[in-house]
Amino acid sequence: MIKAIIYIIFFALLLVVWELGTMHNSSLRLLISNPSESFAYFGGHSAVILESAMYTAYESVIGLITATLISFVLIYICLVNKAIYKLIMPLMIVSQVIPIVTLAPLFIVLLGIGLKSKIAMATVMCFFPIFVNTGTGVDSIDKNYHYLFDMYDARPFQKIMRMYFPLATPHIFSGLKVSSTLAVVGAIVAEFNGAEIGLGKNLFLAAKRLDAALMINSIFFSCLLGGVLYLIILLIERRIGKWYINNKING
Amino acid sequence: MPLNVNNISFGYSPEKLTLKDISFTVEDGKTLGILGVSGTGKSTLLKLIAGFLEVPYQPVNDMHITFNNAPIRSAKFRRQLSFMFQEPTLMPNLTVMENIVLPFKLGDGGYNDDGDFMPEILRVVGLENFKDYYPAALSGGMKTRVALARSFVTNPRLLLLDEPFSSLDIGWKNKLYGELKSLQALNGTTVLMVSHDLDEIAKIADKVIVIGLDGSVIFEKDFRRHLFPVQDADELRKIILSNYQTVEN
Repeated sequence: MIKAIIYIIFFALLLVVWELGTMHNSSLRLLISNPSESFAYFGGHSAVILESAMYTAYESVIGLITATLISFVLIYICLVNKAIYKLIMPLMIVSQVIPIVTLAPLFIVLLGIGLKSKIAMATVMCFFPIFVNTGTGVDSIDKNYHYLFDMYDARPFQKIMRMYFPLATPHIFSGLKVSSTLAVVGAIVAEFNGAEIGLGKNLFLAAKRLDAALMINSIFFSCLLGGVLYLIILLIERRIGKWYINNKING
Repeated sequence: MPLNVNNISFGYSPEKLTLKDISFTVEDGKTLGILGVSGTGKSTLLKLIAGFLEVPYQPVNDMHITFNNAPIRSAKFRRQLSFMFQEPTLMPNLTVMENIVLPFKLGDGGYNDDGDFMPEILRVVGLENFKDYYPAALSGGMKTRVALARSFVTNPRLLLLDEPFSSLDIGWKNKLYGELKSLQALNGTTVLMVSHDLDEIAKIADKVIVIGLDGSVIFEKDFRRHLFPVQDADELRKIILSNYQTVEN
């Protein structure tokens, strides 16, 4: 509680400094706007800004869900055949040398300027942390658990649901938390490269037109979106992983 | 029908065998204590008998393990088997109760889930008031007792215990020795127990083997009674101490 109060005071102070710093400096205000001006801008353009935010949110969420599903299906295939995992993993690691943001124009060309290219970009951004963390979690399961489940004749699906998934849960959620913010980054980067609507498009236009109030509003909603997605994952983790969350809280 | 272990060797090359020509028989309902200094392959032997490990190098043709004439890894063998690992190996996402009944939730439901058995087994391991706790909230000794309850719950005919009582205090040890004997008397369970504790082995083993540093059986004795004669315990101590000295040199 005290921590929350400290954070609120810190951000309130930041806003006051920002407001006062730009009050009598019109050139600085032109570049970074100020809280009251940005708030007034939101009042006048709330419908457009919120619609853009919702659009980007939709792309990010679908991208995150798609990446999660693809990761789980791939991990399932790898569990059924370990040779595939050994084949895929080095490829995954090598694929990370590609700066993923450079793929955005390619997706626009391949999938068009609409939703598909943005979802594809968000999916690609999210995929790696989820896949690698889930793979690491599954790999780190002690051999004795395998022996135990084999001794009790566990079927492959029972092993996945009752052993692999629960024991890898902390790793899976580590990947999901990283990916929740990367999904927003992916969607926005794709929108920079061409979009009909979205926070990325707004940021691109704001930079071109030197529209500082639009930029601040777009940055604010991008941060909010990343934060909300992260919070949703955190809440799901608290529900599914209560056995280790409670342990962490209790020390 | 007894547990029959014949000519078991284990190693990754013929020059470096961890276990060498291990053979013994344990009759139904009896307890075999397996002793030896660290690194002599006692746990490996238990895992081989359980069928967890494959033998990568097979130096002797007639090596085999059977229990009630069922070969290892057969469904019949596994159905009669229970294994307690050195670490409790509990599912951290399951409560004490859920961990104990885990065997009933796996496979094709071949284990008979006798719900009436649960209060009794919880009482035996002293966890009646902790059945809804997650393992993270339990002490090391309590986790061991949950693992022990899980290994008892299927009424196994062959129970393999890898240093099961090492994290328990003397009070719990004595109580569980008694419960182990009751379980054996009730089901005719054959028990193989790896331990470093000579007094523990003295209390519950009917037969003892000692595995030496070369991986072979260097001492074997069938006592056929519960109390270990003091002079034989001393003899065992001497053998183990001589092995320690070999390690030191």
